[in-house]
Amino acid sequence: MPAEEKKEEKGRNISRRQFFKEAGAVSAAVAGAAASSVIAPEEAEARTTFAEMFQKNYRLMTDAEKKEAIARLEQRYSEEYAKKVTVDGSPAIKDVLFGYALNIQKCIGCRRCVHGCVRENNQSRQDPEIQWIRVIKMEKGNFSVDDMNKGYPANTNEPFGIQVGGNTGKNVGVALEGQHYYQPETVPEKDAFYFPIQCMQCEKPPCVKVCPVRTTYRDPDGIVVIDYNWCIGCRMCMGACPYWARRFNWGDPNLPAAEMNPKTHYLGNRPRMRGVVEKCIFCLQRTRKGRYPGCVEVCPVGARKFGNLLDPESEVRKILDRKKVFRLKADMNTYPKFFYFID
Amino acid sequence: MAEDKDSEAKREGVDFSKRAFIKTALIGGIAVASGAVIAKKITSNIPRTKLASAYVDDELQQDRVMKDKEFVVMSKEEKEQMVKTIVSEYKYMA
Repeated sequence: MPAEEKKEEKGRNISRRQFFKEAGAVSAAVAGAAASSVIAPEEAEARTTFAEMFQKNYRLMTDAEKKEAIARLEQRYSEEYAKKVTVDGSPAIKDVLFGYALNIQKCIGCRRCVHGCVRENNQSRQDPEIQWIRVIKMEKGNFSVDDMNKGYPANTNEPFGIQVGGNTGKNVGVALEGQHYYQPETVPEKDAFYFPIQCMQCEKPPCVKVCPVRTTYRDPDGIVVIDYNWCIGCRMCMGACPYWARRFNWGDPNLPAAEMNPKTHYLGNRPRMRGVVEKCIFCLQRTRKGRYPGCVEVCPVGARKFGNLLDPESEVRKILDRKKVFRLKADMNTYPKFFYFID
Repeated sequence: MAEDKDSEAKREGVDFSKRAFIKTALIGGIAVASGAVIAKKITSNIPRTKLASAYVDDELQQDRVMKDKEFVVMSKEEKEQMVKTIVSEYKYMA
């Protein structure tokens, strides 16, 4: 049967070329619609998002690629927040290993550190406000060191040892669940003490070990950083962290342009996106420039100390030498570099 | 034999031509792509109420984790050993 007759028999007269043309047009239209619905409408953001999809892990970038990525982000953030935003890419300083010490006796639970941190590090401001530092309110116990070796029977020559310790029946002091957002008229409250918790910047960080895309890693100055562009939001690091110090962006962070801190670092306080994990990074945008972290500067009672663990003359090393120090969950062998101390 | 097959297909209204195959493949591809986009949109748009509870769940998890904490004051030897380990293991790899 001739070709012409065949077409007529089917009742349509379409050449192969015409068919491909139409199919191509339909495919392009569908693909275009799909792309426009996924990519954000703002041109600047869309362009950067596309470019970011193909960028390497920050650690593997060459210096030129780093510069290019940083320039792209600076342009995007400057347009997005309508101010001159700088994205720093400073590497770790040689012969510096950061350590942090917190005087638990001095902390009054004012939470200025919490809010100072939010402002400095461009965290989401509302619905909800993401906080890297959490101050847990704790009930004061009345255990006494003096009674540690006392108890019943008092005669230590007894073969059975002490059956009932000297602190038996006394309040041990407990963390009060869900008390992060306490709103007393004044602090400190009677019969309470306060326990700030944030990333411990472990020397052997479990979060780094479990990251399937190696987006979180420990920098030479001891700060555990995150390349947000490579984070796939699997939350493995959150599960691995013994201190639960990481936060996940379930939704798009809400950061008003007026409140945005324009001095940012690529691995630190630059604005994050939905579906990535974030955490305290010892304000590396400040500390790598020789400044104190925001929480240290803002603490009204000087409970927070920060310094170089490699320098025997630093505040942190002196505290380690002279004060009573403890670490959280030291038994997990994570070697946290965040120390709590008492006078 | 081949003629029989063709005529049988024609009788049943099945079109085995190259054009028909490409057409089906293209339509299928477009359908899959559209489905993926719609699924992505639906799963990405979590309602705000659910978001809030997700954030609260994360926060309470930290409470639970911190309930297992131990406050054990380090001895002088422990502190020295720790500092020694941390300092000796320091390496700068840019």
